[in-house]
Amino acid sequence: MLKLRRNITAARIFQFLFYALGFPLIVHLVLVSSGPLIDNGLVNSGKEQLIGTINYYTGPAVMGIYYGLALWAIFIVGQLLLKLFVRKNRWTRTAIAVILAAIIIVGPVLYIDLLKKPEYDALQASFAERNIEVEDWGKSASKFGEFTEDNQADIDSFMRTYNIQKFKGKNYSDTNADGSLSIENEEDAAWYSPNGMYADGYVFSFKQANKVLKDYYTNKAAYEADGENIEIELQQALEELESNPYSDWSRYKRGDAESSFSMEDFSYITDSDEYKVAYGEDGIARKYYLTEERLAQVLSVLGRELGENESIGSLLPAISSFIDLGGLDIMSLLNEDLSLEVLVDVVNGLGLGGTLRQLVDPTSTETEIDEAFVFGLLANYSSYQSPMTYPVFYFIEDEGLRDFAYANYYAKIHGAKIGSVLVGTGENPKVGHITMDASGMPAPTQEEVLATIDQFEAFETISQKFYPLFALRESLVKFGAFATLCVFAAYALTIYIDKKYAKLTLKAGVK
Amino acid sequence: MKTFIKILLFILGFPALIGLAVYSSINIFQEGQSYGFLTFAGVIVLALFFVAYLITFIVTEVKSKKSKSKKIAQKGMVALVLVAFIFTGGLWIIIDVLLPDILDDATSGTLLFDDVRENYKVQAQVNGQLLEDFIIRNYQNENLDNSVALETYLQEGYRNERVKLLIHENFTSLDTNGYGAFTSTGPWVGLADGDRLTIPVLVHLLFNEKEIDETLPFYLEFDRIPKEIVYDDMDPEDYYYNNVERDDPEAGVTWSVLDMAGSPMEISLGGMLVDMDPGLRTLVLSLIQTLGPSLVGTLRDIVADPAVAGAPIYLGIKIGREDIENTGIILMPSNESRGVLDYKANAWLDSNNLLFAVISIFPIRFWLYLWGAIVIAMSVAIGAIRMKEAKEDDDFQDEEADYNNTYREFKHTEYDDSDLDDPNLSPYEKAYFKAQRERIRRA
Repeated sequence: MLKLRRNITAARIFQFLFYALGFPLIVHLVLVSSGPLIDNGLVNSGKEQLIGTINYYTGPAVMGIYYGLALWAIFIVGQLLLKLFVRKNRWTRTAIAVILAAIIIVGPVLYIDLLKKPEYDALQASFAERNIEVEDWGKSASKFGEFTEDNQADIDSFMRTYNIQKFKGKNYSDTNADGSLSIENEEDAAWYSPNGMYADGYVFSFKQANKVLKDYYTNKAAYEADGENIEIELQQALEELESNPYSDWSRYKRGDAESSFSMEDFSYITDSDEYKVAYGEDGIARKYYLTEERLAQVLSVLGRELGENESIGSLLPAISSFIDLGGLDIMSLLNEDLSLEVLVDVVNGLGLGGTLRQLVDPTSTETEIDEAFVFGLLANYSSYQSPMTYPVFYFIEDEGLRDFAYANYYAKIHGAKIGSVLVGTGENPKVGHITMDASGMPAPTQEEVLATIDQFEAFETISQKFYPLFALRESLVKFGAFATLCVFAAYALTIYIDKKYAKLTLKAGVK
Repeated sequence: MKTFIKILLFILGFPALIGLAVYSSINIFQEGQSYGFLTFAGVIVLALFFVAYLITFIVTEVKSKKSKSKKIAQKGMVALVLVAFIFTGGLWIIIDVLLPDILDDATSGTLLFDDVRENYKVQAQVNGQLLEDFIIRNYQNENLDNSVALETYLQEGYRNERVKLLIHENFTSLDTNGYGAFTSTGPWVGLADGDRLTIPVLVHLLFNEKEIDETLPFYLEFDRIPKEIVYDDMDPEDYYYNNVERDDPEAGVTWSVLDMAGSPMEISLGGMLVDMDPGLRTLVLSLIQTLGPSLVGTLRDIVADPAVAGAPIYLGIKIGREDIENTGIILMPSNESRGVLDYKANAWLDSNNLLFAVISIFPIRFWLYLWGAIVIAMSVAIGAIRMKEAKEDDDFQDEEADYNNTYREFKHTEYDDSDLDDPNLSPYEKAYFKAQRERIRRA
């Protein structure tokens, strides 16, 4: 009697164990194989969702787990139907359940191998046409975890190079300098201003940094292929927009009627006054950079204060013994009337204009500087693109050139502002973390950047589409037979337990 | 004997918890003593919880003693255990949901729940130190009457009315005309704080036109201006000129971005000087020393002019007399002169009374969570003893009677077993019913 009970208890434990070693084990193994996918930003484009206090995840990285759960659910439904329709013969029920389990396990693997592989091969071929290397099906199917981890290392290195803090980007303030609100676009992983440009405090997400670099370098390369220099083309296009009084840009600044624009479907962000509101006299945007008036004020203070300082007068003879000032009386300049005009004259008078020009642009042949030159220099450090107006490049007609213009602005000017320079300039270009006390990293070459971006794109496409399937496939292949066996064992034990129970019943009265 | 054990178990429960929690809080009491009862908020909460537990304990004890019934003792145990759980870990699970937001509000987001949770001792020290630093600064610039000893102020702390006024009123100026003015014109302070201080960000911070409330007073009796030239072997006390009385001790002030971070910036020139020809170096150093004060003074005036940065940044030159490498340009914020801390510290100090109340809760929280297990276990043990006491006098008649009743009802029922052919019954169920009925028939 006691032995019988012990047998039943043991059988029950094993019954549960075998059940757990079937589909639950497969789901668990898919979960384990999906680990690297979940950790990888490119595969895991989804996000955590919250229903009450229960977390669930969306996005391609976890799809393998959901497929596994779906297979298990199908099996459970099958089991319930069997119980309903095959009541008498318990061995028949067992046989059908085991066959069902086998089909549920083998079917998806065959489906993946027969129907998904051609898709993969086609995709691989299309990448090969663009000279982008993608691993073969066989290798990917077995080493997808390793590839995903390698890719994550590349992502990390990319983010370090360009000083990108967060994969999904970071916005340092909900409001721009002028008080306008920035709006998050989760799909783009970006925060935008009302004019469609990045918000003032937006530090690129991985995705947007890739997009900017791609727009910059692919268009540059396309022009190079035609023997053209895109930067010169851009400059010409901008000059044309500025100088032509009937260009869309000039119309925009004037606030002409929307119907008069050559650009189709043009509409103002707020109203036709917007440019004047931002950049007109007392314009809002003018408060946030060194305007001509502001510079004049600063220089005037500088002239006045230095002029009032007596030590300067005694210092000057010492200086003139080192530097030839050409009879220039500096003290006479140092008063309230000190202005940019005066300074420009002094520089030109000393014959330094040409030197300065060549410092900025080695090809320059001009010998004098003017105020516009100084403001051009200043704009690199102090300019403000109003979030409430379109930039001039919005009105460039050619799409490639326009994309390049935006990318050029984001990579160099926005990037320099937020300390994540994407495209370096000068002889030894630097990118990334360039601040008051950091000098950035050596910039990768155009070819390197394009190759990296291509690799990221190929990985993203392939991994999102196939890696979750591989995670499922791997567990099904390795543990399919074992799981089927365990399903059988669980059923067999049920029969065993039932039989033992029957015995228990007969002897129940005996004490 | 049993009463003695019960008392012992009781003491090991909640009273021990109180002891541990108070012991862990001593540090907080010391640091925040001048903030009054708020520092004891945690202990007060704990005491209230204990009263609830104590009442439950007494009521159940009395009831169980009076009735001498095992059932009553059992009910009492369940009640005691439930109350023990609710007033230790239970309520805290709910409070934990609310607390992070309260803390966030009290510190304008500068102090996070997870930062203090296990770190309350250090946090209490940091917050206690803020008050001390604040008082010392304001004593040095004579904002606090120097005819009274510094120790007196330190001892009185927040209870001193002048100290209280300076903390709150001067922070309003720093907050509204400083931090608030900077953050309302975009992300620049955030970027600078996030290790992204680029030249464009600096230009924005210096030149953006800001909204300033000029009517806000700033309570400062004396101007305390740093010298233009200082030496590395000088006592930091001597970095300043003598205090100069202000015309209007309540006149408003303006703030530069350096005041938000509160610490000086140094641009080292040491490397350059070391490489220099010794003759030239001597010439440069003597030029700096003779012309420096006047030139640096002019530069300070330029920076402070409303057309430029509009707020004082105390430029200075530090000369390395001990080690030439120490030579450099210093950009000093005005915090020390004006007797305020950096923005974050001052924001904490401004709500320190509230913060101490919140911090005082953390050791209590920790021990309630952890020792809650012991309190529950002790409650069960006490309950078990009471049941045993009851059992001895009780002869467990109640339960036995109940059992017999149900048994008898069962016995009189007759079955014909035809209902067991129901196809919806599993083999287990059939076997179970059969066995059960068989047993009843035979009994």
